[in-house]
Amino acid sequence: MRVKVLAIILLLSLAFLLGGLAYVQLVRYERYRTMSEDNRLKIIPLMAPRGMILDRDGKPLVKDTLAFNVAVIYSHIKDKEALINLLHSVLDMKKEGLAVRIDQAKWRAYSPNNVAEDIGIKKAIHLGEIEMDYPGLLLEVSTKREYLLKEGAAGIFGYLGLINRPEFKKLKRYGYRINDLVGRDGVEKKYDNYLRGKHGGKQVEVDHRGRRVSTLGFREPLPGRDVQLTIDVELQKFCDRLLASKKGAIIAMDPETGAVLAMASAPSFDPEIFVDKKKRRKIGDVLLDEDYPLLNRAIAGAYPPGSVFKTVMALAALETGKAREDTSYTCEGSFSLGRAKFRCWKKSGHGVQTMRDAIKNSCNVYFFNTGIRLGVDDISEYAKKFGIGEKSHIDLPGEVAGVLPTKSWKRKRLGDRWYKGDTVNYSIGQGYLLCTPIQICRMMSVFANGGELVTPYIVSKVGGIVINKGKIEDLNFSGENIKIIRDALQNVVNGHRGTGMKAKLKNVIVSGKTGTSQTSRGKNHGWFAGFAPFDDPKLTVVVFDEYGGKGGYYAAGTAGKVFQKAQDMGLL
Amino acid sequence: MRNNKGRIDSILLMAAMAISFLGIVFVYSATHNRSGDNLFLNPMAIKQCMWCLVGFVLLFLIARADYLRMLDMAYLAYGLNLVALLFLLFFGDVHYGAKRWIDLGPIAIQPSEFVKITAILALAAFLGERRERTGSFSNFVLGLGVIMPAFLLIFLQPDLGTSLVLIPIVFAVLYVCGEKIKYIIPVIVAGICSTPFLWSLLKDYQKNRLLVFLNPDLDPLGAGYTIIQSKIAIGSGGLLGKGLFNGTQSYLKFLPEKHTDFIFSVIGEEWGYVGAATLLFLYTVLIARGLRIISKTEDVCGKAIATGIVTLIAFQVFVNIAMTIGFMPVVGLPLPAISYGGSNTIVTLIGVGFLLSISRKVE
Repeated sequence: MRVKVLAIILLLSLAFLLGGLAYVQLVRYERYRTMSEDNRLKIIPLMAPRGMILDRDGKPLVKDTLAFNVAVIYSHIKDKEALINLLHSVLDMKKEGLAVRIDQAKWRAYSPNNVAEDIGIKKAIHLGEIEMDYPGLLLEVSTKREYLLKEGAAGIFGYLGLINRPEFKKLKRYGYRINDLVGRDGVEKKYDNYLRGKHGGKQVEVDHRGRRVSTLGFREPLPGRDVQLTIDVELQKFCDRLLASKKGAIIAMDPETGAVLAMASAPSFDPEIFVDKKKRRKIGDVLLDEDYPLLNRAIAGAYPPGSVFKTVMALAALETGKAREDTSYTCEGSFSLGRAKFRCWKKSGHGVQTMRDAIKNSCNVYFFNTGIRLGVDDISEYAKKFGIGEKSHIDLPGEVAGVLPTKSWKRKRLGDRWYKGDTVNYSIGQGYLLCTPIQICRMMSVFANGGELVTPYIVSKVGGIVINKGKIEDLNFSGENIKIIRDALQNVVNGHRGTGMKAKLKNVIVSGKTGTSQTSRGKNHGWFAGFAPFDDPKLTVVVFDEYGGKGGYYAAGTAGKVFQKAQDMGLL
Repeated sequence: MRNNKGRIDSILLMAAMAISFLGIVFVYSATHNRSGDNLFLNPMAIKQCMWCLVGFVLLFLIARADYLRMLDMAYLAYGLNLVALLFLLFFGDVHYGAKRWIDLGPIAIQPSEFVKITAILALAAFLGERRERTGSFSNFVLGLGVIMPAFLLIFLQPDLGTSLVLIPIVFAVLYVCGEKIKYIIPVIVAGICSTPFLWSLLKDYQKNRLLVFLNPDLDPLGAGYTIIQSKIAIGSGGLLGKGLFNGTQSYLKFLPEKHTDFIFSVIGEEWGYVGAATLLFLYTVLIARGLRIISKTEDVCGKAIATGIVTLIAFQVFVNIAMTIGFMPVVGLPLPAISYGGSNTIVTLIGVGFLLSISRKVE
């Protein structure tokens, strides 16, 4: 009897084990199998370097450089004190901070955890020599995006940022990883797909300390492709310097092809703040800056063009037959429309003005009259031909279209009909009209190249293969009419007391048009758009001086310096 | 001799042989290094082989002998064993926070393993001498008293698992041999009630193990690590296992003590549920045959010895396997005749030898 009780107890215990094993091995099998695989297999990512961004001659402007990081494997550390003392003396970091970061590594005790990033090659060599004496210490190499022009041309390059969740969901099919950097703006964004390499990796079997036992698979990382720009680094740097401590934009473009040689926007920012942990705290300053340094004003800022728009007016009048070269109006300082009076910038008036004079002197009254004769429909039709109020489709993200007002636009947008007074303002590039500097650059290039509209571009080659040579569209203007405007533009700079005389150079004939646009904030924007040399233009330059308050006269001076620099470089 | 006529229980013997053989195979599997070594060049497997050999020689000697004659030396053996434990307490070297081994040159023996057998024999001898007073209070108290010195000496080593194993043994033996339930139950209840007091006597690492049993995630890289990795090993074995010598958990060293206390994890990983159940079946055969011997033996001494040994084996199997699947706290009890180690293997086979010796009298 008593043996039976013992037998029941013992056999029930064994049955209990059989049941427990069934639970662990059969019911929970999937879970433990996954955990066992996770234990056993490790993917060691081999990061592919991002492609370089080169200037037109192949000089690197943006590149991936090696960064040396200090990591620890917590479970391998033998003497934590000694390790902290070593890192304290070599890296010049506070002991408390080091202790905290090393203790954090406890949570992933068998894998490397970064303690210090990008320590520089000298310190890296120093640590590399004694790495073996400190178990648990590990020197790791990673890549770091370096922007060699610092704040220069930041609007072109854009910047990188960690991929976010929605982007990752959308892009993971294309090989993006959760910790990837993706282009956030500029060329980095537009050409991300090419710049980005294909990450490789090793699948290894590891033991309980994370040491490699065998390699099961290997995929070589493919470096990203280099992207070559049309930018001339020297001219770009020069333009960036001209804008230092100002707001505005400068564009230099080949009027025949649309190749952009320089595109500066100010204020600018250092793209490295988004990838360099040491500079990271400056991100806030940039994002909160009321002058919007992240805005590439050359393509993403729309402003009233002011008098540079008068070139479009003049050509429209000639083409529609509403004016001839010798059509003249008398400027007495103002223009009356019903009870309203519209002033010329020169209070005493310009007197009798032909078209040529009116362009040279930038006479408002002349163009008020011309505008009334043309009407809003014709003005907008011609402005549209010049690409005003629409995206230039330059290969950069974030471009805006601006505003090309029409009767229907006003009705829809403001719920009001178009008044003649609106046409008057429109005629001198004010009122509702808003353009980007790149649109003005395109517009001026039409006069430079004799009547063709170019599509601006900034990337010429990807991975050594030419992807863009420029796109040209003939606008079918009369050659004679173009010539009339060209001559007038030449006179603006080179004629006696022309409004653009500050752009005049000794050995090369510069032509162009100034503009001073009034803003609701009081201070004026200054504009100059021009080209050189006159006979065979090689360069269109647009200078936009945001709230500079000084007007086109001074913008012409800045443009003159750019032309001078281009000439010195042999570009003209 | 009149007493040597009966036949040996061959089913019991074959079960013991099969279990020992699996022990050698899995000690090899747990310690091999894939780079082309074989069964006969693996030092651990060779040692385990030798111990099985020694164990079976002793098994046959004991099986052939009269266990009653051997009981004459029970007190002496138990006494020497206690002296060895006492010696360890004062002069032993500390391994893993405890003093367990006596170093005898090429081999080291674990007196706490052998005391499992000698204590059972001493208890059997005691109950045999006083068979007329079976059921008396004095018999019960003194029976407990026989085991007490061994229990205390092992507990102080400290070796919680081995000291605990003596408790079910002594109660099972006293119960099967006819001591009164009204004495046994109150003592067990009192023992359970005094666990808070026992808690304060535990070493820190022992407390840790118990806490970690309740929540392995408490310290996944420390005390909880073994439980987690063992469960992963066994669970990932599934129904049929990863194949002999193909366990990744053991080979990649995620499992600590994989050839000793946690050898069952290797079996579960490589042979899956089928293999684990097969091993359980072999133990069940062993235990069932042992129970049969107990029920057939009229002799108090034989009953006591057989009950002690069956309980010893069953309890160790239960605690060891339950521990590897996280159903019990980690206490250092080996899997009988499977876990690597001379003392465990030899003690288990000696125990089986006694069962066979008793069986010959009843067949």
